[in-house]
Amino acid sequence: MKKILWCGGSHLGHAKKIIESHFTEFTNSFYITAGPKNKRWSIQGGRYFVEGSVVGDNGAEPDKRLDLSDFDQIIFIGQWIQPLKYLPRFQPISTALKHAILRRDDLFINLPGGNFNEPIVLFPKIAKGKCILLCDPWNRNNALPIAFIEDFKQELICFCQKEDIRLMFQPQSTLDKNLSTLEIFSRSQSDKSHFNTDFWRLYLQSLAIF
Amino acid sequence: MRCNPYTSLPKNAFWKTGVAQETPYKVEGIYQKKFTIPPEANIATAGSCFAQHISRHLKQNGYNVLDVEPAPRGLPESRHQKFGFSMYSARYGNIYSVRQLLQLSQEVVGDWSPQNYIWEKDGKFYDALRPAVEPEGLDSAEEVVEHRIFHIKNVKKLFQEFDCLIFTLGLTEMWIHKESGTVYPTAPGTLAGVFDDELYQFENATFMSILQDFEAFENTLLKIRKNKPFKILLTVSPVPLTATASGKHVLQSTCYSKATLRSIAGHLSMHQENIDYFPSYEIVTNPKMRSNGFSDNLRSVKSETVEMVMKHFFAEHPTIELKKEHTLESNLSEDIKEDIQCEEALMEAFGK
Repeated sequence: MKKILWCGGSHLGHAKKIIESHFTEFTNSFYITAGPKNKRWSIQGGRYFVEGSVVGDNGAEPDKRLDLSDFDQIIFIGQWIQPLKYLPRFQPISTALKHAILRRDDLFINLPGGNFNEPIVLFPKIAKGKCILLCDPWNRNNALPIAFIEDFKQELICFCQKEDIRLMFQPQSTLDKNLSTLEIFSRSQSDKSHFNTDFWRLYLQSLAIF
Repeated sequence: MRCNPYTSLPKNAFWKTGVAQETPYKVEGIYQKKFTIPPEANIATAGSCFAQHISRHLKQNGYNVLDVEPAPRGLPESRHQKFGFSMYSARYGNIYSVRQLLQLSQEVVGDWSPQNYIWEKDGKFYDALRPAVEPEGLDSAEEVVEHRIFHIKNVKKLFQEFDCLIFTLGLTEMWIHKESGTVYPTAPGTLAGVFDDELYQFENATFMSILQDFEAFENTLLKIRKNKPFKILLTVSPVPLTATASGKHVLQSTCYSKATLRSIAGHLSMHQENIDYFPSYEIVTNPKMRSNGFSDNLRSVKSETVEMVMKHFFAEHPTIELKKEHTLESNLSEDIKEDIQCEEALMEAFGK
């Protein structure tokens, strides 16, 4: 039976039930590699324990160590990959400014606010050819300039190619014309960042491995 | 019994004891605040480039310096200045003249619209009223308009919300669009645009014209704020002119400019309860400094000089312990809200 390690934060939390109910043919393990605790931990200088293929001791699960070689596939759900983190509210944005924000080698690693997204570069190096990324659902908070989101996607494609990560964007059918996730997938009126099980069912169905 | 009116004056009233024998790094009594800036006061900053230093130091010392056009979070801090972010309370770049400030406020209230403000250079388009905030220009004239509308909307918010405006008077010399009177912060043909003496003219503002502009600005502010009162703290930039178009020697023109602006600041602070003057100009140009406050080019103010100037400021307006940086729509609270939602999701799914 294939062993899958599912990594991420709150989006992983929301997708967990769907994963467990739909992917019963796999052995599913979960590892919190994003979320506020890991964010705070990394900002304070926290870094993963690494010994061979064993990683662990992060901010959310300080006592947990995993041997990445035990898994056939490592799937990141979210992992802080979200254009809104770079442009938190709508503003018209010039090409030069867009490039100044997005054209950086460490764009998806050194995140705004000092958050160090270590798993996204560490795990693919250890578990070569096994990593898949389903990025954060595009937020509903703001209608960001579409050109910004498109450039963000391009940068992410290049990054994932370089890091040997298979990248799966959320299905086009879940997006409106402004590239915001459709309101029907919202968990609640007040939560513009997290989405319901219908959304995750659709997103997870698009995973090629299944 | 007093022998003469000077007998009982403090030592700072005399050149010998107030300047010649006084350390220039801590000039006793050079500034006594006219009003208190409460810790919760919303401060707006604007003006010529020296105002950037004031803005930065106020933020570092816990004051609520508004920033209605904050940098996108993904822009590295080292690149904020290149795009005109984090310098002032809005992304208006340097506002050198009072006329420029007045026109900005009139544009905000809808009383006036700038003309001929889209300049082209090498296929790129610039907002001539703040050309430095997009140093590589924009892709189309329409984009310049879109960016300007967004900017003006934010400046309106700023003008409505601030409690105290700190404004640094910079220049009297201006380049003006003849037909509309639109004032530019830079001469056409320098950062962008093409100089054409049929279109543009030079003007060196006088005391009276600046005073009229300033009073008109105050009236426009009251209109924007629906008569909500405000305070203004004026400073005069000690930075000399890079160049003059007045036909006079640059030293003479610098002295004219600074003297005129200094007397404007003096006049306004003397006659208006809500206006104070902070003498950064005097502290930097104090003869006892022997020009040591400036870098080798005798223009740029050394960072240690700025520190020293600001120590005089904070002696009257003490550092506020709780450091807060304000945006009107705080990103921080959004972050906290999102973190709470994330924590809840993790707790529900994983029990941690």
